[in-house]
Amino acid sequence: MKKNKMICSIGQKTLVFCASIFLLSIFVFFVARLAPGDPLEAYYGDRVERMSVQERMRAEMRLGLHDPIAVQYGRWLENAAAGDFGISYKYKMPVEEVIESRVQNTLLLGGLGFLLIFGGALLLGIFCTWQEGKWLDRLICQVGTITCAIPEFWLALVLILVFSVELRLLPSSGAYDVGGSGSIGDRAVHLVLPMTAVVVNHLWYYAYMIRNKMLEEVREEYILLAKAKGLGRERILLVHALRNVLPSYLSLMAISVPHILGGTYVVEAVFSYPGIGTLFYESARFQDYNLLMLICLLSGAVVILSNLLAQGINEAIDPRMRSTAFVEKNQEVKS
Amino acid sequence: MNHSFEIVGIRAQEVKQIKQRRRYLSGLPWPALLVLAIMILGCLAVPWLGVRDPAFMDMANYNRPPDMEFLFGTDTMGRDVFSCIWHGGRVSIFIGLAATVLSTFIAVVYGALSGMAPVWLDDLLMRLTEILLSIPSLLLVILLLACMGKPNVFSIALVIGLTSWLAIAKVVRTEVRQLAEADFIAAARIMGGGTFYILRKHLLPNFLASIMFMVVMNVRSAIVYESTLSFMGLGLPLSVISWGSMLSLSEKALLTDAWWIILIPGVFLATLLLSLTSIGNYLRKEVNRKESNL
Amino acid sequence: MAVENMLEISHLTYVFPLSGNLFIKALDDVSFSVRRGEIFGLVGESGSGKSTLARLIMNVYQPCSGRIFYKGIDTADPRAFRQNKGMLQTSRQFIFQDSGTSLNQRMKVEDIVTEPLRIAGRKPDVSYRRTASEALGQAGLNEWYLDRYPANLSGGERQRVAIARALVMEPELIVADEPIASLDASMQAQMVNLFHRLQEEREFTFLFIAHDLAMVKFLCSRVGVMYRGRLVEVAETKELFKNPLHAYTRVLMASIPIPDPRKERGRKIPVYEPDSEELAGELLEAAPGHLVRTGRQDQ
Repeated sequence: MKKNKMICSIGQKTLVFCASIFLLSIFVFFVARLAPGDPLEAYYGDRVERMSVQERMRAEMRLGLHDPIAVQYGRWLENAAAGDFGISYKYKMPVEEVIESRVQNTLLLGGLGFLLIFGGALLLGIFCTWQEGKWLDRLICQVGTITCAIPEFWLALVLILVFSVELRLLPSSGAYDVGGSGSIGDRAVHLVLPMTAVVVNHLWYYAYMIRNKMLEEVREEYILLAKAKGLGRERILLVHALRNVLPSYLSLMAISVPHILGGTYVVEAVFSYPGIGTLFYESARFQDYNLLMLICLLSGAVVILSNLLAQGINEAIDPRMRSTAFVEKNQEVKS
Repeated sequence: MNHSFEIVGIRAQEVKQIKQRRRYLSGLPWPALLVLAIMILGCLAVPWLGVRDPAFMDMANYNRPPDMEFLFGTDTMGRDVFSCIWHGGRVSIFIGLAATVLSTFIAVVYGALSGMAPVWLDDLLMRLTEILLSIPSLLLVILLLACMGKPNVFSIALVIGLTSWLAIAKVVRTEVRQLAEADFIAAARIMGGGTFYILRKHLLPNFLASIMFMVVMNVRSAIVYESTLSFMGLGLPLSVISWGSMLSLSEKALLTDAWWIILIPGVFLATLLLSLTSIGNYLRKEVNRKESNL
Repeated sequence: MAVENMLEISHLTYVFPLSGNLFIKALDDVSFSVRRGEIFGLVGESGSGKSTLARLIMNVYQPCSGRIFYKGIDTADPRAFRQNKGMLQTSRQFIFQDSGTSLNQRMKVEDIVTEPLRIAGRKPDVSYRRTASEALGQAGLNEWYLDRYPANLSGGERQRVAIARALVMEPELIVADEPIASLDASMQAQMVNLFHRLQEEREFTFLFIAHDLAMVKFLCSRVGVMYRGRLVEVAETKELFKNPLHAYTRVLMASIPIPDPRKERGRKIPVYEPDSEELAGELLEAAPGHLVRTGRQDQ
């Protein structure tokens, strides 16, 4: 019975996922095509201006830009199903390959940033609960609010100004030295500033949430009971209170993926870090449709997946969220 | 049948004036309100302040650090940063407010309709918002902005407004779903009140408090979006002065070590955002002030 | 027809859908009528479908089957309802059980009381404030209350505001869904008196829903007893209390507290055990004007 329900739930979620991706692809496809601007320019560069009308026509025919949007979408879908997402107009190679060459940089920045943010937020939140109302807690709260209010790109700029321009300690752009081998040390040095920008900007938001949740939790009666039983402060906080906060923290982590992803993209653009964010920014600017499409779909897929994950976590924590379970408990039911 | 009781409900009661005023005012985030007031007043009053024309490019004095003549220095194009700050603030704040008005309006209507709709339609509408929410909003803004052609103040406000209503709409929908169960909504329906009447008279006053925090935070994020977009060269062009477009000069400023071009607009921006954040936090429901059990 | 029926309900059924193929049958084949100018009481334990019935009469829900005639208009028929919408909304008024939730917390009493007038687009004789004050006066409140918010009032005062809101339209039918259930005992007595006086003055038809038989006995001229979505007995109040026929009615009668602690203490309250045949039967006239649902007894 229970297993059956789980399979059912997973099946339903897969369905939602596919439908969402499908709708997302339609949406992005049409919106991107509505944009003014000349995709030929991305493909041919400056040569476009010297093209004759016939040459233009032929080029558009070849790239399939001449058909109605619906037909173009149908063709894209057909190819995509076969694993062919088209050719990037700018890079003149399959978009999968373009993305493949960049995706590890973004994963490194975003993934590591994600872990640092949530690990740090947890520690900071618990620490603030521990110190509640004392000067250290108040100081952290104030500083945190300020770091949260600073726009991400400006924080990145200031970091460059201070550490690259003034102090000349750290590189200001790229993922590794030009012409360098891309050794681990080299990469780490290039990662410091972007990572700082991403982490500092998001850290407090989540730490504050943890702090609030924990503060609510320590006002529950069971904490008093635990204290009466003679348990130590550390044990109550870290074992009892934290256990009740963690599940909702997990779902919070899943929901916050789009925020952190968006933040990573901005920071990448400021540091000219060769990742998906920079790529997206370029493709939007130069109407590189196929590339744009795949980036949006991939980002969307990650986000939808994490949303579904959050839903799943919530359902696992709180059975009330499953509507059928609620009905079963209701007694006055006749069928 | 005899009347065995008398009606005793009728009696005048003394009007007790409870003096809550002082306590109410003392809780307000005064520093934030003060900063906000100064910024808005400064931006509104700038034509009468006698500052230089912000668009004038003084080729003799470009990239000058702050001194007595140019309080905040000049930028790489020879424009007076002090004057640009106040003129640019107008644009930034306008975009923040206009986008928020638009997004709040859409959110309230959409959320309320979804909340009052039959379950299948509600599910459909909410699925739609979830799909839209699944696109990182910056991607969405950039995508839509690309469709609008050459960006100007209004198209940016429009695009930001069109993309930032989702979260508020979800809250409105949840609140309306709860409120719609309440008897006073049923009472208004029995009286013959239409959907929009009920929304305006009964629902809005009841859920307004719970979205105020998000509305203020929306002003904040709209300003952030504008500056981020303009900074990346996707938003306002250099000729339209806003705090974001001023910051888009920072790449050049980094090369010439002109810190004031980066720091001054950024400090203003961050201060505005900080005061909006603390006002927002004030509006958010406080954590209970009970004694901790720990 | 000798006596004109203000409200006539025939074979009304309503089902609450849950999820999938689960549902709750809230009303099952309910028929009765309310005469013009009378106070009709409807009693039954909680969950017996009284509130659902009241809401169906007021067109909050749409019935699954059956008809509701109000002054000869079938209000259960969406088209007929739409055609007479204005009249129906002004001449029928509803009083909710819990005045805490039926009054918008963010509106002043003045606005609450005059809201029906504003929605119907009816202009007051002098001013809205004056009309509100008069309606409050009839409900036993003075104009001091005009500028209060519901949260500042006691339960009894709030219920009076709700009554004033119903009276302001000068309705012909008032349906009150347990209007006194959320009040304490002394307040209940005042309210019942108020209803009684108002009904005598204004001569509206009154459908009074309660689970307290003592109040119904004092106030109503005829009573219907409901059990699990079915109407089990309808009779004149005196007749019903003198000669209860249905087993459930008898149990209900026996549960009325006796105002003597010594007798009350020693008393055993019987428990009604539902008999499926007894409930499934037809509503038949046992005596003139006394209808009872019977199953086995007839056979």
